[in-house]
Amino acid sequence: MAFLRVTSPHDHIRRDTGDIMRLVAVAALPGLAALTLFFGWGNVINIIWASLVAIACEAAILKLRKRPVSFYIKDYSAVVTAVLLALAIPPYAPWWLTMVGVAFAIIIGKQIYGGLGFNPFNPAMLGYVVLLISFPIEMTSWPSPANIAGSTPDFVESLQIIFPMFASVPVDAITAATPLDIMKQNTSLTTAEFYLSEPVLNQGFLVASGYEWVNLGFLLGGIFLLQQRVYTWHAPVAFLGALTLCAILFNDGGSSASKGSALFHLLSGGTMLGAFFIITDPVTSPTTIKGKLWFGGCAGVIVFIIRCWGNYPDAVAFAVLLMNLCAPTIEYYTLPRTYGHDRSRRATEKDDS
Amino acid sequence: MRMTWELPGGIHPAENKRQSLQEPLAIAAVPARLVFPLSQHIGAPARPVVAAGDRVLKGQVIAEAAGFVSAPVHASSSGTVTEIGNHVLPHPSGMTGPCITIETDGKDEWTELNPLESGDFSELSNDDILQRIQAAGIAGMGGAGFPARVKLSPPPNSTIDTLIINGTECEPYITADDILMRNRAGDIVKGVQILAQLLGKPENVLIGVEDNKPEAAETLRQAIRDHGADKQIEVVTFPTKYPSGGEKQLIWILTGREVPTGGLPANIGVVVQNIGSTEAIYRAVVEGRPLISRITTVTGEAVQRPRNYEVLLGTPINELLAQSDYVASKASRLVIGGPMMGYAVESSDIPVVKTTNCILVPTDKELPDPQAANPCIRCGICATACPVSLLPQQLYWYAQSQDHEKLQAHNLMDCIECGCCSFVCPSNIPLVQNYRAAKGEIRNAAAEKQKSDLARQRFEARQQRLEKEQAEKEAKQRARKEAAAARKAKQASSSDEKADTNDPVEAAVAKAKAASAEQGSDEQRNKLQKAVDTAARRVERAEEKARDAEGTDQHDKQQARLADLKLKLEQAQEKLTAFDQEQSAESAADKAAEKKVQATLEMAAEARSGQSDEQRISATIEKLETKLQGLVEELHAARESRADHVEELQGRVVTWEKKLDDAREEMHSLEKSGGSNDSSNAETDPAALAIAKAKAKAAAMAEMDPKEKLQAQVESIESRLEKARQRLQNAIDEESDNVDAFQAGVDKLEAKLTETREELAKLG
Amino acid sequence: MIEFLLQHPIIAALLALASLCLIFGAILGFASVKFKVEGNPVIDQIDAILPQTQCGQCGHPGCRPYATAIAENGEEINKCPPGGQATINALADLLDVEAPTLDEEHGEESDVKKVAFVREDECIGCTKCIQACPVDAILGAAKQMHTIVTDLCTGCDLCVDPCPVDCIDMLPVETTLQTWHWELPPSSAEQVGQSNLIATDKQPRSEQDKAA
Repeated sequence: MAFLRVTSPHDHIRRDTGDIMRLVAVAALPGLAALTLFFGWGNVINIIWASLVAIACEAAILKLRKRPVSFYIKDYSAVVTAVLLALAIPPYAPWWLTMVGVAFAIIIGKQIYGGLGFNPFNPAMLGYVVLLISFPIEMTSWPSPANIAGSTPDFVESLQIIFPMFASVPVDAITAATPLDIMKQNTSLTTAEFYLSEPVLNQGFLVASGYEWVNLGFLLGGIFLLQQRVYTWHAPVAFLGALTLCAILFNDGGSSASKGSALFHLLSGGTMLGAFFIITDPVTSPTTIKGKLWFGGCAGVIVFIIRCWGNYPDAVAFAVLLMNLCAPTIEYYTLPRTYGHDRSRRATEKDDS
Repeated sequence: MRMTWELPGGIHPAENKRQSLQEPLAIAAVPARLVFPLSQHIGAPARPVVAAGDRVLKGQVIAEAAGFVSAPVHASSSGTVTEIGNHVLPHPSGMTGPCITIETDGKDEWTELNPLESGDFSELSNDDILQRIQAAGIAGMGGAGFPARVKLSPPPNSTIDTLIINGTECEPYITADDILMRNRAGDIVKGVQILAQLLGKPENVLIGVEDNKPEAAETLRQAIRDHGADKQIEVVTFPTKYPSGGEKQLIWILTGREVPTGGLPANIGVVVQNIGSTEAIYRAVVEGRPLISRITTVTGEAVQRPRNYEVLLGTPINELLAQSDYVASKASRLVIGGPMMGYAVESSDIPVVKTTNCILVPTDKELPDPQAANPCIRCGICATACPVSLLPQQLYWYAQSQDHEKLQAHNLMDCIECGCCSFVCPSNIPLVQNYRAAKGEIRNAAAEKQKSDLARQRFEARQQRLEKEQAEKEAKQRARKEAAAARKAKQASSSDEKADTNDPVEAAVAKAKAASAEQGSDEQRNKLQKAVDTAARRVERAEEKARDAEGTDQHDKQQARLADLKLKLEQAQEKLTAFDQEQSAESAADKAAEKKVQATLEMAAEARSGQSDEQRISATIEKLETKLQGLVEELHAARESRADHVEELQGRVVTWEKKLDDAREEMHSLEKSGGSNDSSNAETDPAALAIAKAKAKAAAMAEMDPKEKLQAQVESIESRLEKARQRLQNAIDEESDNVDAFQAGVDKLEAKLTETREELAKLG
Repeated sequence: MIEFLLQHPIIAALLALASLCLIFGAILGFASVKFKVEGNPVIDQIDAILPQTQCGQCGHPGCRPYATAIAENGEEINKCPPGGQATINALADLLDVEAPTLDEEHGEESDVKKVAFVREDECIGCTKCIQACPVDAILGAAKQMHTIVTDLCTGCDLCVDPCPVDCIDMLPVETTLQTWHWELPPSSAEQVGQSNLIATDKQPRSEQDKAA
């Protein structure tokens, strides 16, 4: 009765859930930098504020559920949810909007199902969709990028916009249409024409001023996560591939009915954030390789469909939630072929032995 | 360069092999005490052939193989057997099991070996080679411990085209095979040649070595060239990755073939042997040396001199640790095997066995204690690490909810428990433990299921049998009733005829006739009565004799006679009763006669009270049994000599069996009816009788002097043994499932007999 | 005819309905003959779940009679102590009813599986137990020592009472190296709920071994 008797393996990789979550948070930095550069300090303040709310909500619920608080807080999953939500909403969303979204994401989106690992829907996207449906005006008020607006609010101004009760004089954020809005609302002009008429588009380097850099920033973060083997390439590549394919198929060369080029779709809206930070959420996506391909691919198609023919300019959140619903089913039908078996089987199959 | 296939999944844990390679192979000292578990291999535990107090020599068989899938155990040094008893086993359960303990005498005296004179194994037949391998007790030395003979006897319909020697050693820390390849490459090559010869010279003979052991691979290649076998044997190196050393994984890497689930490598024409086993096979076949030592790595930061030892099997692990300057305070656990698949044990007082390839004593820092598990976030990293393409996170989910159906649908049983999934899990979930628990439960449930199916079958068979018996009994009763009814009807009709005759003369004549008949019947009755009485007396006498003869050779004879007499008595009684019945039916009004009958019946009952029906029937059963046994023996003899009258004999056996069954049936029904049929049966409650008898016997025993008692015991055991043997023989001939039970009974009786005889001898 | 029907749509509808009834009735009738299931398949399914100890603790002379009673007479499903709650749950699952708890009247669920064992020195060879055994797992003949084939014994207990000299014991089946397996680790939530580590695995080290 001397030594510890445990089952093998005795060695373990030195990376835990907290490490992975921290990596995800770190990988969001390039995107955040681009956002700050073009839109000011709003997102930084939002992230901090959202994280505080998230931790508070998580701790409160854990306390209610009589679970050890510090143990679960240390997995950083609440923070990651908060960061992703704060990156997705407009930079100068009022404080209560963020709070409602994050609280909904943590309490209803995650803890009600049993906490981390048990939630069927991506909590950040659930919070986002709730906000988008409940407060459409606030959720679509994006400021103009810095190079068009001339300047961005400084840190104190940003604080005052987000927390208006601390401002002596009300500060209003200047809002403008996002590239996806413009594309959506356009009915008469050819692509070339409205590209000329809209500064946010024609001042861009590739697609649209500001937004393209934000997306490239998230792409960079995604590549970093891939390199760190936090997830595999299957879902993001399938997502981007399907979106590109749809865009190529439906791009008629620039008529007024054109749906925009592939590059336009890849580098505007929440495409890259969705591809590398949202659909790769492990809890709510299938775990099989084939399943991930299906999941990503279908999400890409849905994004394109909603962007072009739906009511909302962007659709990553809807696409992800819809696919979350399908994830278990996808998984059932995409089991890998096990060594020594002639074919892969379905999880619903009865054992014949 | 031969093409290799890449293993899907797999991991790259820190190798930590360097530490134990710094010093050369050492010979471990002979310990004061050696412990040999009887089950060091997969299959039936070996059967001890020595007793406590015996002196044994190095290499002597101390336990022999008990079946085809089994292996003998040899003493690894000379000394005295001190104990055959339970001892903690090197097993993850920490349970104890039967072991032979030997106190060494330090002389290390070898028993006589049987080496090949010429050293040329090519002249040996395959059977000889296999026999030598089996005699040496070689069981897979890589970890599982599958007896080598079984592995090397592929199913007859399979053709083996590839022989793979597993020198992969993919587990971190372990360097035993590495050292072996570096030091004894020549022996290994010869061992491979022996195996190749045994398997009919397969097309491909490959030695698989990971590329982190370049020195070992080079030494092997050199040895192959030296033996001029470079056309025959090929050393294949491939990129290091855990778990490429798993048998199925290595087959995939080297051949691109997959062993079908639930199948054997031989099904796809492959045989795999461990490199250590190969060397042991060479020694067994050419030198005649049994497997009594192996190379074991002792490593981990809690030993100051990690190195490899050639260690005698049975050496307690704490002795080995002491030789490596073990610092007990630093060790956090004791792992037998590597860090990925080895098992942690609680005590270091366990022996090195055939499968012990590594003893790992890490510090807390080196291999930290398991952390509390976070919830599974379904990240799927485990699925990418799994070398057999399972979905560990799904399996975990279903294991926790004990959903055996889903677990099997997700191919849990194909899990090789390599530990890759647990290793990479960011949530620190002990996945492998979940799978092991679930597998164990599934296996036990399957066994239960099998058992309950068997129970159902047996229950139904019994039910049918009882129904049949009941039906037969009813049919008999009905037949009797009908017969009686017919008789009555006949009588009634005859009396009607009588009534019809109105003639007074005729009536008077008839009356007279009836009277005379009655008188005649009285005479007849007396005769019968006498017969019954004499029979009863004879039975009584015979019973006395039988009682006297109890325990002597005459006993059986007397019993048989008694049974015979009883049968006669019964016949007489039956006749009497039948007669009486007839009489009473004929002259129902005749009170006097009735009284007489009553009296006779009472007398008969008195006569019978000395013996119960049950005893009678059981005597009959015994008689029938002996007869049947004789017949069965005759039948066997006839079968063996292929005599012509086998069929006839068989027929006879069947009829006798039927008779026996009938007698048993009667016995059963008798016991069930429990004394309702006869007043004398009230006394014959078998249990009460049996108790009385047992008591009487006990009293008699108490009166006997001990020698007589023992004598009696010996005799009774002898007769029991005889019967048990016959039963066993029958069971074997019928290929009954209960052979083992019978065998055990015979063994037990034999043991008891020798014991009693010894005791008797001591007294005499 | 057709014209008549066209003029009287009600009659046409009735006719159509009637003919449909006839056609489908015929199909159903044919199917019921063609695919007739012999016996009651539910009985087999129930019987498969029952533990087959044939112990009669449920008040029925064996598992199959109990299964029949459940299927045909609506007998309670909580009368099987050997099967315990697991069996009740499985039955409830099969019959799609709420799982009741075990009816203690019929005996308590025991955690350990048991088998009967004859103390052979005391056996007087009365054959009483042989007759009692529902699965013929006892070997012996009159005045011969009896023994129980452990592999066949279902642990039903039925042989214990009839034995006149009380030489039959119910012994728990011990875990062997073959049946031993690792315990299912607690779920992560349970683990964290406890003090810190996998508490059961953490054993205090004895001083003795430290010294070794």
